[in-house]
Amino acid sequence: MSDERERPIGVEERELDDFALEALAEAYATPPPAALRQRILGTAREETAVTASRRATTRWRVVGAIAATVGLALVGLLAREHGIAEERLAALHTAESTAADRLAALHAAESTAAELTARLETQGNTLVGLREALAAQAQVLRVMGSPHTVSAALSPTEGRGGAGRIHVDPSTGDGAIVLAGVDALAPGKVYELWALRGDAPPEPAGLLDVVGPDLVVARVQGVTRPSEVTAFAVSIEPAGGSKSPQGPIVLAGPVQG
Amino acid sequence: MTESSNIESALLSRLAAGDERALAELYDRLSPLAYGLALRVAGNPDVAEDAVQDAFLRVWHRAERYDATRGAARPWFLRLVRNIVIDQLRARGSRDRAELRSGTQSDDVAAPERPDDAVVRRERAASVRAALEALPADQRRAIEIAYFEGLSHTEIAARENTPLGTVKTRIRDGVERLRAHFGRKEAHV
Repeated sequence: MSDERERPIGVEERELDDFALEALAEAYATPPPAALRQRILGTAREETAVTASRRATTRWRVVGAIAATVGLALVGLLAREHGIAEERLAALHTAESTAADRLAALHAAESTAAELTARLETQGNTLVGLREALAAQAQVLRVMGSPHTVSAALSPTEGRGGAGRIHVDPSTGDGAIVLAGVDALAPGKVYELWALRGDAPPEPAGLLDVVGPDLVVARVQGVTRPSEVTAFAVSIEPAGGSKSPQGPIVLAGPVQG
Repeated sequence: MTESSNIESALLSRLAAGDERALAELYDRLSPLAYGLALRVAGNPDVAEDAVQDAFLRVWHRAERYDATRGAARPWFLRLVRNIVIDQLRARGSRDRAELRSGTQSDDVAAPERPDDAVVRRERAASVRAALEALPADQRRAIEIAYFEGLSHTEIAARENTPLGTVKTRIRDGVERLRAHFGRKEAHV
């Protein structure tokens, strides 16, 4: 709407200009056609309604655009959070997997250690057995070298197998026993040696460590008054031995003159 | 500012707020001046009607552009009407304009005015025309070219083959005489 075509003018000049324009317009003032008034007012009303409608549409578009923007931002945020959560979950899975691997390795190491321990224990037992056997053989040699021994040949009782021989130094009560062909014992069982004096109840004379099924060489210690022993017997007893025979007697034999 | 200027300035403020009744009131006050001016400039009632309609609708949509500190509302609006007519004529070309000038009769029926308004308007129009006709011919012609055709002083000087200073003097002297005429007249009322 440009209504200022002239160059900038002073106040007085503008007043003159305004006055002249008004004067000329008044000089030629003419009532416009009757229909023009209604046409202008009707057009103004219609254009106002259209503008209001456009403004309302624009407002809704703006609201829609804002809602869409917020929605996109939320979706983006959720996607980002989802991504972070997935990354954390993946890291958790990795950590869990690593922990499981380490646990399995630990179990394997533990199992290996247990096996090694068991093997060491077995080897230790074997070593103890061998040492015991070696001591027993030395004891046998020592007793056999003695001028007087109390000896007995042990025979299997009915239904049993194997055989044995015992030598005891009458001066010390120490000696050795050799068993062959006896049965291997079930866990929690031991062979126990008994000294018999006539009709008196059997006296415990020591537990026998059985190294193998074929040959047992064990030391015998502390047999009291060996010269008065009339016979020896071997029975199967619970681990730790018994004060009097509880289990079956598997070998027995009289002291030889 | 005159009472008319204050009223019309207030109407423009109401228009800026979207008051349709203000548009009707402004139309009733200014449409004879606007239409007469447009008709005088265009020389054709159809062009004049279109220009007046365009001017009122522009004011309806953009009344807030009127700045009261830069002048009264009435001449501001009349200048708008005149410029719209000139733009339309320039768009149609000078040949069409010449054709338009050949016929100035309108088939439309003029809007009825209140009898007292019509009397006042006719008396004032006659008085102004008389004052214009009392001016020296060169002053009246320079004023009419400047205000009805919207030419600058330089353009008038070129078209009339007259020195620029002479054109300026003619217009200024003519307008001063008109104002002096109305000043004396109003002082006697």
